[in-house]
Amino acid sequence: MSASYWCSSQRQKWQYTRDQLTRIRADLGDNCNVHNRIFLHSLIVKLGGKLNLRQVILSTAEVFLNRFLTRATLKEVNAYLLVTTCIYLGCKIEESPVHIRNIVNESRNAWPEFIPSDPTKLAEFEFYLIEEMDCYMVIHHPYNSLVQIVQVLKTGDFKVGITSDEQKIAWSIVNDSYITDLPLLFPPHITAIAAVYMACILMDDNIYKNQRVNSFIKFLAVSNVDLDEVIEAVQEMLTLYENWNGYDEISIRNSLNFRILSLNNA
Amino acid sequence: MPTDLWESMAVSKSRLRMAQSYPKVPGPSSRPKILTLNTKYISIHTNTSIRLEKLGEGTYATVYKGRNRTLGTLVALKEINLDSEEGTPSTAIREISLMKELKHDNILTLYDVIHTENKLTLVFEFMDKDLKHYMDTQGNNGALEPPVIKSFMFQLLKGIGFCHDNRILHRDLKPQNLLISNKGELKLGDFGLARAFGIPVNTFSNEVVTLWYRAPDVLLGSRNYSTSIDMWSAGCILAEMFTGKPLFPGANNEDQLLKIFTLMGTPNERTWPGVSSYPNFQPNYNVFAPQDLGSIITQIDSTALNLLNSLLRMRPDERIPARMALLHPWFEEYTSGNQRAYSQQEYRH
Repeated sequence: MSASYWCSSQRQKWQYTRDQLTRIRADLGDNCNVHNRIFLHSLIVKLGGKLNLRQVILSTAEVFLNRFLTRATLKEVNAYLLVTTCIYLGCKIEESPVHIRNIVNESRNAWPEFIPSDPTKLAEFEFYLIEEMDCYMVIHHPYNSLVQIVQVLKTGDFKVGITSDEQKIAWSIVNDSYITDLPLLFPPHITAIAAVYMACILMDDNIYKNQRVNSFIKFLAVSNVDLDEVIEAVQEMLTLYENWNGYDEISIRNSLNFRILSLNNA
Repeated sequence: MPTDLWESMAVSKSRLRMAQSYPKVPGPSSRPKILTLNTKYISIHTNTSIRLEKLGEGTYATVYKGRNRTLGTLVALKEINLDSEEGTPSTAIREISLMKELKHDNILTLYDVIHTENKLTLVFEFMDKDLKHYMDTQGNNGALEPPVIKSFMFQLLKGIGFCHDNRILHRDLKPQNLLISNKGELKLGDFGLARAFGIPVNTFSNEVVTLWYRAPDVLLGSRNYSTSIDMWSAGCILAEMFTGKPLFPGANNEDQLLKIFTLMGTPNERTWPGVSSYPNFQPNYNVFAPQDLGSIITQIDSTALNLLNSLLRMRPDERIPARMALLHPWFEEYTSGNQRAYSQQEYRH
């Protein structure tokens, strides 16, 4: 929200190349695959829904989660407490704080056997999270870029009208992008462009399609964005949706729960 | 079961702790692999910085002078007591997250954040005095020399301009929050009330800015204020540097408005369209005519007075923005000739 993305800590401290991410994960011995990540996403959406939070808070929480998982692996932490803490801190950063007892209660309602009733545990984990992120907590999201891009595409130069349905789809694609590594890899506007492209070009099957494609390509040329990054972002999202088809929530949940409980007994 | 579950965290905590880059402190190499969190934090804490005398009490914290044990440099340690039931206070989160984004010559640098069992310590660069203390000790009955005032004001506006460019409001500018080094540098500190401005405008609290430096629109109950509230505070500070006394030392909200009206004139719909729709506006204020600030602040020269008048405007939309104030003729000696070079340097950050 604050500061421009270009001089932000997000760009200077928390943006990796794909190689760097691969190396970090190899060093950690990380095994958080995309199905685990989809499951974590569903936990955030669930708790966020119960607390009636704005989307941007949840998106900030997801970025915190992504950052944390570059420093620790899922198998050493209580994923439910991690998710709760990310949301709790996200609320503070986005200036809509919730009371600690409130969030602990809601979280315990959702996952009674995994959340300690003592709020000091959450408070302690909160600082732990802040420190793993090296205290960099201001997050830039693709939503503002998305709105701007839609505006620009409407103008005389391009005349790509984007229906409100397509806008909604693009918005949802941005929401889903937090499951992937995109927030750690690319600037937010790349994700926004990829989402718009997917919503109104890939999913479009009407007869004027060619004209729209041409206008959109013209826009990409003029906007001077890194096309390779856009292509990679689109590819990443397509891979996510492909993987989502084989997602089996029950087996993921069971294995995660089993691991947390066995950690506890060890 | 749930309480035991937490124990599983302890293992990863200490393992992660080990991997932190923080312990540059020469410590025993045979440190046990698994330490409890708290002992480890404490050992880091006591090893790096030695706490010296108390410097002051802030809005939500106590500030101590400290010395870094390895480097020998002075630091300021801002200690925030933690309520274990509440998590890290929002004020601290704001201050940490914003100061991590804002790196500028006129903004205090945050070096480190240390968490111990029941307190959070922010390690800042050390500055010799705050402006209040500086005026008390170096001033003539608190009043400063015009060249010093000009230098401080220019630096203050640069710091504010940088915050505003980055879409951050300080919201609590006052002499106690402006820090002065013995080289004459001025830096903005205490971002505990600062916040990013942008989307959720109507959620601003109007309990901001120490009363004496609070803008009339905020006193009248405005909740959608913007950068102009910092400019009002800057104006109050400028006047105070000339006279050595606060310009509007109000005792409470009412009194504060009265003091402002006495000097600046009571606003009405003609001088300030829309003023009567502010939540706290009373239709029966005593009517005062605007005074000439130059006759009250006798020490001020006409160019500086012109700047002061542009800052202390009752209507928020008329107050001069920081970027424009920096180009004011009063600062000509800093800006003439190398104006372009200066602004380029600004934006390189």
